[in-house]
Amino acid sequence: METSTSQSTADALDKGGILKNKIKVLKKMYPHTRSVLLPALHAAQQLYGWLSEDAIEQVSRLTGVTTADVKGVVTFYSLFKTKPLGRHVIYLCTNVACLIMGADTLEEYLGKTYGISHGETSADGRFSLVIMECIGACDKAPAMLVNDDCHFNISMDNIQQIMESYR
Amino acid sequence: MIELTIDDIKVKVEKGQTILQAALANNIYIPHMCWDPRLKPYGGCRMCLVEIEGQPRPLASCSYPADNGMIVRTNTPRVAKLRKTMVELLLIHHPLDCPTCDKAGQCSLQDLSHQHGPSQNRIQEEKHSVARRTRNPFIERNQSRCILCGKCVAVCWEHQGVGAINFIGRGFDTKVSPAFEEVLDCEFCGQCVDICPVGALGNKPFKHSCSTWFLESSDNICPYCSVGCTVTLDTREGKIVSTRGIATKGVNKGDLCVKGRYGMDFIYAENRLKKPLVRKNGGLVETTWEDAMHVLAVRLNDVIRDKGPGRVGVIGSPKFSNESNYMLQEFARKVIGTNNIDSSACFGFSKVQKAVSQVFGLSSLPISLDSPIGKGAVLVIESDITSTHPVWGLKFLEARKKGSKIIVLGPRETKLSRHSDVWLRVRPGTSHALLNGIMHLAIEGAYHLKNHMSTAATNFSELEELVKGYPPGRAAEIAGVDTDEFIEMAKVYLTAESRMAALSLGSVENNKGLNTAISAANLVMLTGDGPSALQMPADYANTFGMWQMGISPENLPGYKKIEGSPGKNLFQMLYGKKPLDALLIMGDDPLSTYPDLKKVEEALRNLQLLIVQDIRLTDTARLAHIVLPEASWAEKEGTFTNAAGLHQTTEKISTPTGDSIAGWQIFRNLTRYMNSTPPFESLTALRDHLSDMPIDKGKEKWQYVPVHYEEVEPVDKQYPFIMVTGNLMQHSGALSVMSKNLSEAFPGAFIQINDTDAARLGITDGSTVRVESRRGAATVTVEVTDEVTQGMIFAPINFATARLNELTYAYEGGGAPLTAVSIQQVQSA
Ligand code: SF4
Ligand code: SF4
Ligand code: SF4
Ligand code: FES
Ligand code: FES
Repeated sequence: METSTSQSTADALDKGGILKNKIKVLKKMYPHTRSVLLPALHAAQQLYGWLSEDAIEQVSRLTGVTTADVKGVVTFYSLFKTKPLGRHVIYLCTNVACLIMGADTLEEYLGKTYGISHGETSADGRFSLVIMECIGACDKAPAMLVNDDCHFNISMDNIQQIMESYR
Repeated sequence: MIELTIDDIKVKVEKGQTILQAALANNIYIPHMCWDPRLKPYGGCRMCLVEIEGQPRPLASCSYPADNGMIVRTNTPRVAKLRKTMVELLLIHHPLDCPTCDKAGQCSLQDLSHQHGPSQNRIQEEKHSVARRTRNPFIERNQSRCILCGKCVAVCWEHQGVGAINFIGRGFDTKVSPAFEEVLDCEFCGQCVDICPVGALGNKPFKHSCSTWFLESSDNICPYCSVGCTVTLDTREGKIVSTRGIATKGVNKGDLCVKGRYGMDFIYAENRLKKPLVRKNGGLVETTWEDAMHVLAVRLNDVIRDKGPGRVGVIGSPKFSNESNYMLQEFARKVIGTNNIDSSACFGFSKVQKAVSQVFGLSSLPISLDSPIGKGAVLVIESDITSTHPVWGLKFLEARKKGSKIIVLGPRETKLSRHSDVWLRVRPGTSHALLNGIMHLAIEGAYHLKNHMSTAATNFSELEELVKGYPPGRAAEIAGVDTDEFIEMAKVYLTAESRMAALSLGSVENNKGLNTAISAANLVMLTGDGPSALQMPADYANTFGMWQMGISPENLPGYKKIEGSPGKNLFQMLYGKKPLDALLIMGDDPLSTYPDLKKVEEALRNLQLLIVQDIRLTDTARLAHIVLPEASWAEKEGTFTNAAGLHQTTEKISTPTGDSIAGWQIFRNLTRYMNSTPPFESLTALRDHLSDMPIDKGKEKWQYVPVHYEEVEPVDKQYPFIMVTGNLMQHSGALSVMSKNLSEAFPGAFIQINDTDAARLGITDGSTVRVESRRGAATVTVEVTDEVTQGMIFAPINFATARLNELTYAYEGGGAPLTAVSIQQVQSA
């Protein structure tokens, strides 16, 4: 009576066995299977866009880490998505340095322009907004990530232009 | 040894102990909430802060190692202030719903708040309000009360090896939950409930039954398996309200499994016998003890007079006390005059006894519960130890954490296979061939062992000759595993610093035979490890004791061999050509658990006199002419001997149900009705006699018994599947099915079949199937799973309703009595 996963759902998701092979490779790079968990989750997120229950079960099965443990890790880090997000994800820092330098105005702007607040996706599916803790760019505050790109020293003067580059 | 000073008291501890451990061991109390002796220190609650001379800051004593010359103060104004703040912080989000919380009175947070906390909280913040989760049979999660100490998560994974729950989320929203907020579906050991310092996890069966301060507690010994855990029973007016494990008590040191924790309500089952029953005009009718005893004596005397005492037999019970079993065999031997005495151990534990005496010359071989700890390699032979002996199974997990390599041979996925270093998925019943194969490799190549190898023991050359026939290729082929993997496994075992092999031979397990046990014994002897490296536990709470009490056609109490010819064993009593005329069955239900149901039923129906003495009206009792109600565990005093040979007393905490009385009294009275003199008039006299009873240990003499692997009932076209029978963790025979808690949670009979096989046969999960063997058929629900391998069916045997024992057979030979069956879907889910 374990909380074990059903092989069939997990297999259905990983059709070509892509994730399976990726994790196999990862496993060779780390001494403990548990260390494979984070890179495995990143791989799964990259492959599926977000981490569904099926994806979590699959990672659990492939790494041997229990589903509860995987879910715990996924919900701890805000970079892991537990629901499908828009085409582009904005990670806006609102920690002290960025806040002083006007992150709140940016948040307001994004809200007004695209109708999104933290955790939401715009109606056209173009943008999602995630409010982040410090992303380590305090000297270039305010800062944000869009997908994997960093944007520094953002202001009301350049934000529109930045957003326009993501269609 | 390390010497340090705690609160001006000089204390000594082992190196590696923490300050907290040092203090507790010396009766100095330091408040703590997130620490547990079984777990790695977590250092989360900061209640255990102490000041150490020379250190600028207070330190968490639960995770700081004690050191020589350390001067520790546990109760300075500074730590007192910090503790006060800690409690204050913990209480910010806590709902403080103590009046409706079952933990109140046993809650660490409540206690610590009283002792250390502020009377008013300076901080007013949002309170937690998380919906209660109750949709599982045993555990209610009330996460608003959780203080995030992490103990439940750690005990479930680190200690229990399950990992069903974790912290989900972050910050304020963090809660303890299974992965997807779904219904908790785990092994329900309840360890997380016991360990929770607050009321965030609760036992559903005991919910709101009584405030803790009205409870009385007493310790008792768990009546289920042979580990013999100490359970602390909280009672109100003699009724069991809840069950706990306490870290300082018993062989289990606080651990309990699902049966020990939730199964004690079996004594309140509706079908408990309240009065003696005697068959009149075809039906069983209630009567008085005087009448029942009188009728019994007359009818039994008739059989003895007309047919002779050799036509009468008795069956003892591995679930009843030493006192009951001893008096039963006294009655059989002295009053009836027969050695026809046996028990269900005939299908199981007697194999252990035979192997041990044939190979080592010993009369018994108790296990040691700590045996796996510190062993280089632990070989588990087709045994699901975490199910059959759950708390002992935890020792295997602990051993692995401490560096032992766990090697598992077996077709079915088990908790140990999941936590193993090497797992060979052998075909059912074939591990014996692999054991011979390991010996082959040892003799051929294990040069490092040569100096230790017991080559001088009798029959060494015969063994050498026999295992020549099991080169790796052949052994692996029989077992259906890869040759290289087998060689690799053997290497891990043979090259380990120290070794041990473990196998259970329960009376309903059919995947190992006498020869498997003998072969394992040969192996530990060959590698020079000797009998202590072989761990073959008795199955039920008192299987070991029952055997010692002389419930055997061959042995008297204390393992003394019978002079002259032995009595009839179970095979002869129930399955032979000339079954008996009268049978007295104490505390067992052959109809629901013995193999080859039809034969058993025929033998029982043909009896001129069937007497059943039990705590409930079993299927077998329904066939009886006379039924005697025995008081159950916790309704009388008794002694159980666990698998390690430890005698432990079970206490009386409830009044006996109806007119039921203790077994020893039944036999004393019966002896009087039979016009004999009872050997003991009082329980004290009986107990004194038992504690002085000489034990014949046997003469240790090592002798190899070379045995070939044998397939007893091969599969064929018509019956292409091998049916393996066994126990579940949550159910193990008669007692657990009486428990309402366990039966509601794990209700019906089912079998498991491999998913590939199922797909091929068009069998779907949850559907009803007909399983058929050469002897009979049964209809059960099927679970489709990859936990079992192809070609195999796993059938838990405890559910009498399924009559799966109609398919199996009684086998006296040395092989594993596996059953060949066919399977067919009759109704979809
Ligand atoms: S009952 Fe046991 S297995 Fe289930 S969550 Fe609690 S500790 Fe884990
Ligand atoms: S549920 Fe209990 S044991 Fe688990 S983290 Fe919360 S307070 Fe600790
Ligand atoms: S391990 Fe055995 S003795 Fe211990 S609680 Fe479970 S059934 Fe009872
Ligand atoms: S506070 Fe925004 S990057 Fe550090
Ligand atoms: S007991 Fe030491 S920090 Fe909790």
